Amino acid sequence: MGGLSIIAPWIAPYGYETQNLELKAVPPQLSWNTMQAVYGRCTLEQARTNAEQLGGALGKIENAQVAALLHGTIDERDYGETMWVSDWQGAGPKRIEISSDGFTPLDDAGDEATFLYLHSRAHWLGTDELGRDLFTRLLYGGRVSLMVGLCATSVSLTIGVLFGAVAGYFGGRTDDLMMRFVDVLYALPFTIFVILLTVIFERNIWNLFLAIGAVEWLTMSRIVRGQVLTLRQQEFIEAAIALGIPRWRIIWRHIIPNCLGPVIVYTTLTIPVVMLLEAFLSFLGLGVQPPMSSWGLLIRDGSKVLEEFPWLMIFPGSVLAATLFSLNFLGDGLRDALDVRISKD
Amino acid sequence: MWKLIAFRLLKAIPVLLIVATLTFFMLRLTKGGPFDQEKPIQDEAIRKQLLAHYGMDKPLGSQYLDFITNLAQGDLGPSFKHQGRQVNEVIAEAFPRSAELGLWSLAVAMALGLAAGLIASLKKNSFLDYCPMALAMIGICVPTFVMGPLLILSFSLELEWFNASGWNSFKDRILPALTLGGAYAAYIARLTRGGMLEVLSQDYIRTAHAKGASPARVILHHGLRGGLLPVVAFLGPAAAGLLAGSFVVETIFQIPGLGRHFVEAAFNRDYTMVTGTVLFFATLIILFNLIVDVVQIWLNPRLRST
Amino acid sequence: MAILEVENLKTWFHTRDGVVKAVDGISFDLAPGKILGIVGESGSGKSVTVHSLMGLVPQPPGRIEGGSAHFDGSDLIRCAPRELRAIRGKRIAMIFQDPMTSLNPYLRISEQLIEPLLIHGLAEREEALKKAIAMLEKVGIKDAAERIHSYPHEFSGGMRQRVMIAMALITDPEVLIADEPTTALDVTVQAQILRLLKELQADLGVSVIFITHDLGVIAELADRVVVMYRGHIVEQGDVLSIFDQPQHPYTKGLLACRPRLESTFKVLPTVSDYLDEMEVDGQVELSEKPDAAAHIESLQQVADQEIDENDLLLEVSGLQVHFPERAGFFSAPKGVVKAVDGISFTVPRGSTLGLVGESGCGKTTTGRAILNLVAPTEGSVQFAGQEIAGFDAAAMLPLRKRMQIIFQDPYSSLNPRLTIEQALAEPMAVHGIGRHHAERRDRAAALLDEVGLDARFLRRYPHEFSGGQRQRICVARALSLEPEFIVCDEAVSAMDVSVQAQVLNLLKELQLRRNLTYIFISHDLSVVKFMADTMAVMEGGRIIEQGCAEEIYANPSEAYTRRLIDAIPRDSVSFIRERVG
Repeated sequence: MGGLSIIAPWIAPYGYETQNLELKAVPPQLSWNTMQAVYGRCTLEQARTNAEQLGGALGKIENAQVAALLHGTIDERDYGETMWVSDWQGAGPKRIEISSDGFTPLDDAGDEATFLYLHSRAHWLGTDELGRDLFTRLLYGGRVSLMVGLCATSVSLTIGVLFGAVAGYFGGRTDDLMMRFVDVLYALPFTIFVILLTVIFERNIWNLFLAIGAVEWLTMSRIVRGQVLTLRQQEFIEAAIALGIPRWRIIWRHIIPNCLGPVIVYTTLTIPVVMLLEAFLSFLGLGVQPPMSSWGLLIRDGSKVLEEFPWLMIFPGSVLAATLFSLNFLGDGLRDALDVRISKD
Repeated sequence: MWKLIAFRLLKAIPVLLIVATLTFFMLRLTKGGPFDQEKPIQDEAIRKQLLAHYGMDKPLGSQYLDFITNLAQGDLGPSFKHQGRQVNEVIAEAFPRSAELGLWSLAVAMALGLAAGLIASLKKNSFLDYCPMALAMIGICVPTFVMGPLLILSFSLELEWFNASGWNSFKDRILPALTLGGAYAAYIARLTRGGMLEVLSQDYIRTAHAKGASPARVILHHGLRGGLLPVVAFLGPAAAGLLAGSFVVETIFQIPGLGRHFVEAAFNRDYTMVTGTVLFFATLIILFNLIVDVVQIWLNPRLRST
Repeated sequence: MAILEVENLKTWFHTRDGVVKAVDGISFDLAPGKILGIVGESGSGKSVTVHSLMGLVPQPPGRIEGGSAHFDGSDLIRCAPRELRAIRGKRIAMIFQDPMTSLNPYLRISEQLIEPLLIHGLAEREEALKKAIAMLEKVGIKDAAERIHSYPHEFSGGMRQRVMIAMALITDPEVLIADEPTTALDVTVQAQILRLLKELQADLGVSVIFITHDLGVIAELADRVVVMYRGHIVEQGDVLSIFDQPQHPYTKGLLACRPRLESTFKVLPTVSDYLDEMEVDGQVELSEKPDAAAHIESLQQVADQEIDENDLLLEVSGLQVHFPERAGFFSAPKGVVKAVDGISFTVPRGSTLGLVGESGCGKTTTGRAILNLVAPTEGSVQFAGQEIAGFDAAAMLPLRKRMQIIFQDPYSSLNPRLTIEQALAEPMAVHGIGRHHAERRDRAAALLDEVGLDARFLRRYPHEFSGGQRQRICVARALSLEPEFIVCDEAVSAMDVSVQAQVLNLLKELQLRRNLTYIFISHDLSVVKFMADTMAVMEGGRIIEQGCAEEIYANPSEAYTRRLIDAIPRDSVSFIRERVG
């Protein structure tokens, strides 16, 4: 179960590559069930460019029928609608108009018509208010969310491990001083500081990593310090010293591998926390800025139109929850597994 | 004990001072002032007048001095955006709502969390353990800003039991408190279970059984104290978390509390308002941590002698 | 007429790896007013037995599969929980091994002491408190009226065990079950607690089941003895007959493998010298080895090594180790703890110096200071004529090859993430022993063989070994650098006697073969006497007496040494005969 959800974020980068291109050209679309076609007004030139970019041809006459039939039958509402099609009775791209007696070819000289493109893929999860495919947005947003999760976690990992290891290794007064510092920081309302940081500095994604990472290292440093302190008292470290094993080798072969377990576990558990914080900030509108997407942002957008389009909120919410769940699950599992080993030793 | 409290309160003063200074300078050093957003005030004269009114025409150093002097007297200055109002007033008006929300949420979190955790620890590895723990995991993984809209969707829009927003009747408290308290209930449940399991495997629990104490007495009299220590220790961070969560919940349910004011002020660069709320939050959290520490010491005699 | 009759008791644990028959059909009686000793090594099922009687076996995984325990008309195994609770703590009380963890740290001593009285409705609060204070005085706690309001952490281990005893006896029970109550205590404290128990038992006429792994304690205390091995009772009888004429080979082995003050063995017999274990149809059958007696006879013939008293390998003089003591973060050091406070001794090549003393006397710090693992504050340490006190890591490096240390806890002295081969080869690589990997591996295999382990074990990780095996690996690791001198810091203290005997024999054997010099640190005088040629008694960071080991035992000149020797449980047959009359 956990493994399955873990793969989900892995699929994201693949899906994003192919679908993002479509996303750029996709104009507004509101309906979600029957949504097969996407269209927007443009000149013939633009229509051609779009078609090239999409790797396909301009729409065909059948597509126009489909598009026109979006609301069941071709009725008065469609009359007067113009669109570009590629194959009007063997001719090249042609502007056509929908009228009471079907499709009528128009003069090309008219400047704009609807560019019609039939999606080869259905929108699995529908699209948003602006006609963007939700699945794509989710994958794309997942990249941001995971990147924030990983990057900010590495920031916190680096600071935390260094700080904790130094405090634990030197011990004594240095340790006291450093840990008091951590104690003081612990007492501060840090989410507020992250908010402040993101408000004050430019809201680019790197600042977000830094802001979150700078806040989340406290616990890590405590864990590492505790681990180093316990290890230093273990007799095998003393035995290694007595055997004349050089200091760097003791650190490298004896201390680091034995610290690794808890650090890995805590890192796994930090990633969801950080992702949550990012989503939280994005939800408040302080994180990633549109048109970039992140899960938090999608949830924010979705919750605004909750009543009309609940799926816009439910899908991103579930994806976020599932990812957090699997990461937590993985962390818990790792912790249990490593604990068993530690206690057996 | 009193010495400790006094000492901790004294120590809080420099911490608050650092917070105040940091916020003050961080805000002033960034581009864009409170009057540069949305509709910049074109008229240079009015602008000057405005700046003068808020004392912002002075050099940064003396602005800072003024700020600290006022702060020492408990005056957080006038708000930039809430015309003609003092920050103190805004906080005084909004805080009771936030505090009420926080207390309700804490109550929800404690009640649900303790009950679930206790049951799970006593019925270890049974349905009554797995079920609450699975729920707790979900509670941890579904963030407040997902939970809130979901609750609104199901209970307000579909079932129409509650209002989707507002802060008027008692019924309006239920959904926000559930949203905010839910996640913490989950954490508390996990901590309670872990703490109780740890304690119940201790030698002194066996001693208590050997004395012939009833299971209920063993759990309540011997187990609970040690088992709840991790929960108490968690209340400090939980308070900070509830505070942050209140930003979201107040936004979702449109409650005119302090959290919303803070987020708005941060957006609008309402310097005095931001600084004021940050300081207020910091004080709250320091106080709360102090209370938590005192409770911990009261619960754990071994902490008393050191 | 027995006060408690246990019949065919079976307690099994259903674990993932299969069924562990911790207690598998045992029967014994407890006579009123008598002390029944249950003796056995770890894993023999002795604790599970009494836990089963008290309904304290965690279920699951434990399950009582059958049997009965009759106590005054009720069957403790089958009766309703309520009925059992009414007996538990009121008529059958229990004390546990570790007094540090067996008292509730969150409650005042007074609360815990009066609890049995309140639970069983024997007294009101006021009266219970008075009784508790009287009881505390009875178990030898001074100022009981004041100290009763303390918390457990304000008491020392010995004091806490007294509190536990007071708590158990406060309801005037008919049966007291003591589960290794002195194992975690220093030997002098153990002696006090044993004396106290004996007095109280005589005074109150309570019947006692006393569980221990230490036959010496049994000899001091018990009227009747039950010997347990692998969940079975292998032998039971009067204390005198068990000690005088043991029947079962396991009992014989257990009695013989302990180093004793009056014994003259140069090599200790081990249980496996006596006991043959044969697996027949899935059942382990125990029988005596036919040539056991002759073999034991031969052990006494082993010759001792000649020691040249003038060839000194180690000379320590005026050694001091001080640790700063700090009260708070910003406060200046309050003072210094003089862990080692000016000690001097010499160790001739090929001999063993025994360092004895109670916990906190500075013996461990001494051993570490000699190896420069802690920096000596003052004094000189001469190793093979070279002054080494205060050497830094670089200066010590060539000496590390020559001086080694073996620690007490074989569980924490091996890095859990290195295989045995890595653990053995690493020091060799650092010191350039062995030209390449394969050669070092061969040497590691040879070392394992030398300490009596299979060379196949090289690929395994420490957690796959038992404590005794791990200690052998530690010995092999120390030997990997071919040292002349080894500090053994409580190297056998954490072991069962039968394993202890094997490791002691191994250390002796290695000493003879490799002409090793030992400093043997231990709190156990009989072990030190077995190992050491000369010995030094430490108290409070000073050596208060040193000299030839045999002489010190025969004629201790210091009162403290006398006390230490007296605290060793007496276990000669003549003593028991005298005691039981």
